[in-house]
Amino acid sequence: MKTISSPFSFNRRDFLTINSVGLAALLLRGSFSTKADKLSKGPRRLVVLEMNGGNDGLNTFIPYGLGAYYDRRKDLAIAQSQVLPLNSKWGFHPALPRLKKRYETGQVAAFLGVGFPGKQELSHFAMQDIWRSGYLTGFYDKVQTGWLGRLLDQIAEPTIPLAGFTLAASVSPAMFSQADKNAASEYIDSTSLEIPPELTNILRNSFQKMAIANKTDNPVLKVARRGMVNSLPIADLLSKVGKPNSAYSQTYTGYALAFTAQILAANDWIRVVHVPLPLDFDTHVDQLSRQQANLSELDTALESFLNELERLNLADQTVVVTTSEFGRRVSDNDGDGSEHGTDHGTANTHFVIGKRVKGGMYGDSPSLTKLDSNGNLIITQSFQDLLATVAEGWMQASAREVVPGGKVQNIFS
Amino acid sequence: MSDRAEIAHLLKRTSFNVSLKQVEELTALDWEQALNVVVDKAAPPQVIGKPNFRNYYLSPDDEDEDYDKDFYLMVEFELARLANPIGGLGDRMLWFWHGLITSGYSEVDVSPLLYRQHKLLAKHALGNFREMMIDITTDAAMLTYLSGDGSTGDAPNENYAREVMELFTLGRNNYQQSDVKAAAKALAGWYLKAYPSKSGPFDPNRIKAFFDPESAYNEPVTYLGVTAKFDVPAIINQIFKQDACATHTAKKIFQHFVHSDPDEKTIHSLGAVFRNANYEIKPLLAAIFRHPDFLSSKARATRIRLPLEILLATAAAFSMPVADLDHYTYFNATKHWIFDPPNVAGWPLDNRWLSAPQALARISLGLTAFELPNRNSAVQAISQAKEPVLEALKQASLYEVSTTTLNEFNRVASSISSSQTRAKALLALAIASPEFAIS
Repeated sequence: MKTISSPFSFNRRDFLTINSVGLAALLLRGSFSTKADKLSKGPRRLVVLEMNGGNDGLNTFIPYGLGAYYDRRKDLAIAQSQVLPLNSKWGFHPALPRLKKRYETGQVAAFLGVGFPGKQELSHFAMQDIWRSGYLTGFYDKVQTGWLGRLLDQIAEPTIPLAGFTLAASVSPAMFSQADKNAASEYIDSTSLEIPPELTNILRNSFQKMAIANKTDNPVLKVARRGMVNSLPIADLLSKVGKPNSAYSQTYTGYALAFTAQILAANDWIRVVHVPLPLDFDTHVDQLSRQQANLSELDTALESFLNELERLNLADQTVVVTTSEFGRRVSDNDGDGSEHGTDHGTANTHFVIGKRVKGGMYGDSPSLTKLDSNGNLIITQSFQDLLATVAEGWMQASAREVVPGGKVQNIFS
Repeated sequence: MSDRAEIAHLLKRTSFNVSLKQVEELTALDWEQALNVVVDKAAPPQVIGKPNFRNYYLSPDDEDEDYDKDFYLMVEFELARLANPIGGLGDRMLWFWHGLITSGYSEVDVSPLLYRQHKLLAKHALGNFREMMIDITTDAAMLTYLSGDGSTGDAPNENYAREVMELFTLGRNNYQQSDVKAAAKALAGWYLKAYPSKSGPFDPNRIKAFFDPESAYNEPVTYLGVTAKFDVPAIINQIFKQDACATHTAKKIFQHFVHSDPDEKTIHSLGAVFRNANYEIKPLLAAIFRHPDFLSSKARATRIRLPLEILLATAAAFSMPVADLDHYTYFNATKHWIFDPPNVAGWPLDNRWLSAPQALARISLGLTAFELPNRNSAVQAISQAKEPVLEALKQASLYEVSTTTLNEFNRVASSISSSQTRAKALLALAIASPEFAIS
């Protein structure tokens, strides 16, 4: 699969001008949470996992009790003896024993049949666009904000320079926002500002001054300047972030989540972390072995991450949600030999994980017999409902503004 | 005599760095003469020799750490080549093609194969676009990257068939889904031979593309309106018969060298030039740089710089070998490894390169000026200059800066008493300035 990213452009009406005194104040360690929070200390955080390529939900949360599952999937189905059963009808993919255990302790909500409610386009580019924008019409040159960006515009503290973090080299379109309190980095050591101590104030001052718009700037210079506004805050944040826990950061996914844990632990700035998982879920070929490898790496990393949140006293305040641009075709794509895989699909199962989640299944499972004209599942709930639920139900923003049209489900206690 | 600013602008777009000496030399000519020197007479990229590859094959079960070593060697080799002597229009075009007709280490493990493709692109960079496309269709790295290797008539792989039209030649909406299927069939039957069966020393030159008629499709297909049996040249020729081929490609080249928003008339006329020149690249470049838009305000200081360009310009500003700059950290932070684009779309020229993480990476790169020894020639030149600020701006080839940036240069210069430290601080500031991110 080759993903083609959306064009990156944003407009900001205002930007932060920081004078050196203000910056010094911001560099102080300490908590900035001001909202009284009924739950334990610190504000609520959201970690969004993006399973790019289109994870096969049917083999992840498996309706193995249905004959139609085996009839349709044939060689691609997970054998009954391998499924990790929850009951006589549903079970998890064999690579997810830890997630299954959490599900059984009631910490996991499984949203069934989640997808795009409009005409199915089955294109990575178009569907990633739509999911990230949070709008049924996607970005399409008109919209400049993503759902997580709009969420942060609502809840972020005005005095904090950064509120969102993308675990990648560039900010995800899902995080595009008016206030642009966005950081991005793929590695903890990708950048550091090594300035001779006696020059720190002078040079930092100059970097900030060069970020201030000038009436004579041409449009490109304008954008170049705006890019500098967040550059020092990102460096400052990264300098506070501890080293990712080596116990589970040997895999790429483990590293991403271990890094995420440290970002959340560093201070209260970052409210949303967007993690495009470094795994390719686009299983046109070799689905059985590739999904096994993907889900296994995810299961181990996720469990370590959730345990670490517990140790860092962040578990009560943090919810994890999965996203993916689509599920996959019900039947395999008729590859000969062992190359079985699936084409692009529609409905998917997504998980919301956290200690305050009221665990269980939400929504109706899509029919395996009544499919659409492409042989795909017909969705039973809109992706907007999943996004609205975490945006309002957990992060306490107004879903109407963050994901207009999305129905908030009551899944948190 | 030409206008100095216009000459500097021309040189910025047609090379990887601009020295004051070059500006002086070309300003002495008139504009048409300058274009003749820099564009019409541009030399093709000189890609001579090769990196010291290990030539050790790793079977799929082995750790791929040693494959990384070959990849890094190749990156360093190319950076050194581009830096000295500083690459001109031929090399700018070479890296334009790399960003358009993509392949990368993410899929192609064996770097000698990527290097072979690099030489192929260099050969055609200022040559003929149609010949380039015919050759690259059966290039070993491309057959690997876009799944042509092993694509059979029974189960034709559509990857190259789609991207060759969507991204490399025609652009979206200029072909049908049925054309993708047809091209996939016609291009089936190619495979790479002579991969070793186990780990050990090997000669990568032995890995070659072969056509096996037994696994090909062998029936006529209907492709872009014509029903026939197509081989590789025929497929490419049929693409090149479409009007969109010339206009789509001319537009991309225009956007890379002039500005991002050419009007329809411009695209149409440049497409005609390209078509009438039978897809020779130099006549198109001659027309592009002579187009009135090139000197218009839309084109002046509006070209977003890619990390490769910023890295080379920084090494030049620091008068240091590019090998001494930490390109490893910089390419990781900017996600712009040469020979390893993030995906088949290459490195689109848009605002992502001006975002905060990119700015931070550039500022960080600039701060390595403080690691320069005092005897470094750039440090010396600035510390001994009567006007250190002007000298620093010259070193960094920043011929036009905003008052904001100039104020900061002056402020920093007057705040530091040690002349060497001042020189290094001014160099760091130059790289950090927003103007350095733009050409």
